[in-house]
Amino acid sequence: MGSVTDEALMDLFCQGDHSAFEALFARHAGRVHGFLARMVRNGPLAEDLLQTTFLSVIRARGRYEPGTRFTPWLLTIAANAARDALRHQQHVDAHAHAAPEGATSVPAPEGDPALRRRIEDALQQLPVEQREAVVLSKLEGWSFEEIAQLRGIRAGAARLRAHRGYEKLRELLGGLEDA
Amino acid sequence: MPGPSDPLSSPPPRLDPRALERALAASRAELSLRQPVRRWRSQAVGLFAAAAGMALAVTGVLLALGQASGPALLGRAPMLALLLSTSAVCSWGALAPRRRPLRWVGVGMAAVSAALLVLTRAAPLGPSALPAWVCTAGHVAMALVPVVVALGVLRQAAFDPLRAVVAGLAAGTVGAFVGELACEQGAGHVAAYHLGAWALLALMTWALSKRLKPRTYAP
Repeated sequence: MGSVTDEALMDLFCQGDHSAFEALFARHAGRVHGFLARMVRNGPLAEDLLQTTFLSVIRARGRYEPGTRFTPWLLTIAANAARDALRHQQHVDAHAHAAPEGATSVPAPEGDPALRRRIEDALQQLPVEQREAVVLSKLEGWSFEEIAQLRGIRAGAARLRAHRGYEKLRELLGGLEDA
Repeated sequence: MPGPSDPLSSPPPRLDPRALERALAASRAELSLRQPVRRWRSQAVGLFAAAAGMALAVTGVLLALGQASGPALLGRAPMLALLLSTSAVCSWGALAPRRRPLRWVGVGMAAVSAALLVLTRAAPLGPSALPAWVCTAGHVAMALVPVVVALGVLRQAAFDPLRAVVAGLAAGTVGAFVGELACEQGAGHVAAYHLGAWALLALMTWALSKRLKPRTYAP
């Protein structure tokens, strides 16, 4: 199924072809996990959310409309799951009066580990909507129109969220550029 | 922001192959259940059918008991048709994966219906034998089945406040429909006790939907 598009695979899956789902899983699991890991910065939680995302694809295939681009649809599901998990985590943390234990459980990948960790810590400090806008625009290559569609806001508002996220990152990482 | 942007763009953490295997196994287990695919269109029709069916069933009971008459039904047909149309648009808008503007159309139609319910209400025939809150309680009670249906179908997608409110408005048309036929109180009573109940149902659907864990996070 190498040359078949994601959208064609999803159409096949909606018609009952389970092997099409497995092909989609094989193509996108890594990317979805990368996105989730950046959003929640908690290894076990990102893995749980990966599972939740693909379970949602199965359960909600009746909500997929032919002609919809598959990757944005899939990442919208992942973003919704991450948001819900972060909201729940904030609620739990507020009651426990403690910082999330798993906040640093994702190992830093290649590169300068200290720099990576500092940037990921800063990213984690952004409000969820700003982090989402930064991760989607900068790392996933989404346009502001696509982010706006995801959240039901105007493209200008999505741009503003990302801009504020970058500004806050710059503030949090002050001195990094001089170093 | 040249400094931080490059390291930010470096590859994400690698996925543990065992986690990948677990996620795939969970997906295969879900697929093996062979649950029927629920199309959003049939869910929207189901929500509308629950609201309209309940309204028509109660109307039938009122006609059978002599609490409403055929001529009265025909006289109010345009208003009743508007309420059913509002329910249909709200049901469709609440369940459609895209078409966010349609949700606002549903809110607009509900607002127009609410205004017309008050403005077209004739002067009361006389004092009611029942306390005014009975209308509110009846509104809420008649909408319970459609609200349960709404909550069930809303769980099939990620929580969205506007979607939940619009689904609540669709369910709440039952009481507005029956109240138009069965209640002979004045405009003030309709505004406070009928429309208040409709708004309460929309808020209740929003609040309950927010608390329920969604079955999927699809848009």
